[in-house]
Amino acid sequence: MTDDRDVLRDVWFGRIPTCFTLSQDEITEREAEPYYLLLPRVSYLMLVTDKAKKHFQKVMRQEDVGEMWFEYEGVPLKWHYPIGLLFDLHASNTALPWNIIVHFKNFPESELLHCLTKDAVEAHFMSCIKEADALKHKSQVINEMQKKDHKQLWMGLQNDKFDQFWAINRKLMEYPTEEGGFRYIPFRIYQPLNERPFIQKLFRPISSEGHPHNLGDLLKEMFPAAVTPEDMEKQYQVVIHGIEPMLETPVQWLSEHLSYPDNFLHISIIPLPRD
Amino acid sequence: MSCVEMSHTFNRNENICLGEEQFQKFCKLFIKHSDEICNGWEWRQKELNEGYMVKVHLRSKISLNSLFVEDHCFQDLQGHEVDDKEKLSVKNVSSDIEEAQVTTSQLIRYEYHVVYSSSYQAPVLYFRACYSDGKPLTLEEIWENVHDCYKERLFQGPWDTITQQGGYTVCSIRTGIWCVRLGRVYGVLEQGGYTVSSITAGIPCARSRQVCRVLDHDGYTVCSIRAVIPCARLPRAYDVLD
Repeated sequence: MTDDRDVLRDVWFGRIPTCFTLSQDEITEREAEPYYLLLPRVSYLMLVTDKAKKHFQKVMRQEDVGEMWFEYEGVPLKWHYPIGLLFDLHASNTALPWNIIVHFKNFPESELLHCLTKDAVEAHFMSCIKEADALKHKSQVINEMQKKDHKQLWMGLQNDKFDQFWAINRKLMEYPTEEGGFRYIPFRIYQPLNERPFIQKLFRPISSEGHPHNLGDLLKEMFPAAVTPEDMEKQYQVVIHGIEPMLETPVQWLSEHLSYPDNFLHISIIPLPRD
Repeated sequence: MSCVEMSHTFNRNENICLGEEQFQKFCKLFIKHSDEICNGWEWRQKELNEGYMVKVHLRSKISLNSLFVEDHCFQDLQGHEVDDKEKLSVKNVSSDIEEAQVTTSQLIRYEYHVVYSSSYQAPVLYFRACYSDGKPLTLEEIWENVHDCYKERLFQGPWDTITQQGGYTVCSIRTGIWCVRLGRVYGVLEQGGYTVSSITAGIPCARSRQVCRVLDHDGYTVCSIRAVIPCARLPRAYDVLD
């Protein structure tokens, strides 16, 4: 795994140039300039937008400022999804910068979770890590860690410290050599417009005959329409961290290298526009 | 067979995992028991092989100045006897919650789902709580409505215990225990394959690795981890087993 450490860095340091604009609905004392940020793909909106919030609050009255939330093309953005996933899912094939609208009122209760403090983000992040380890190691690795190790994962993410994060995360990426991989692969498959939030099922990285499963195998089982036979037209893009990995890529490798810091592979399946 | 003996028959190192089938079996037992005590749990079939348990419960909101105290007191979660008159200290999560004088009681609707999680191979309790106008309770309001006896423990790690997940509140699973008592129902959930138990007024017990038992202070339901099994009535003490 360590041969491909460069990939880990590339994933961690991925950025999306974003332009935040205040919603027309907001009441301002003077015109608000848009705010530009390079958003880390692997982080969460509520962790990295404090400066944007302060910028817009400067032109508003205190009483008009409610809980901040974000929207892209009419879709409220779920802050508990990693930023890179939100972008891949909603804005993959659009021109940069990513244009996000900022709101401070009319919080969409039925569509978004509240996030009044960073504790909410931490709790969600840690709960994903724990679930991922339940799948990979029956929770043995995460449970053996001390609370300070858990804290270090969170602090590493929050402060954008690759080495601090991976000092602990590497333990979550180990497996007994004789197994050949994790018990199950933590993954979630998302589609842009769907009733169901995501597809998540048990999937082993190695077949019962000992062959490593690849991305194509995963898709065949979870979303067969995304695997097009050679002679047919491709209907979907399968995107992870803004790229379309080859279907021959072993899922074990994907899990070790292209997981988000929450240890899940968040895979977006985007329909190709029909001309 | 007393409860202590029963629990000792479990292999302490055994890794207990439910499968979907076992889960459904235990749910059937659970619902049967629920029917017997008119506790309101129902089964909902989702797909051919999948389903979950549901219960809807209405209660009035406990105001912050509530003088509501149980007749019997409970052992706190560390197993120390707590005097009937003594109230456990409560650490408020948010220091600026104003002490409101609630003159009208508000009706809160709780909806519980017990779902099988394939990730944890165990049941997970989801619940959502909203007022009669449909407005959901905030997480802080939910924490506040946890019974005083458990508040201290809750506030040691509120986010580890009850968290948000996509519109529901989840009784989280961590290496400690959690029993959240809401209204008169609660579930005991733990990682690694455990039973959900419904008890009408009860106490949580400390969790040990493999065994968790929940005792009702009236002593009428004890659940082992394998199935909801009623046991002989015990006095208020409970055991912690490793």
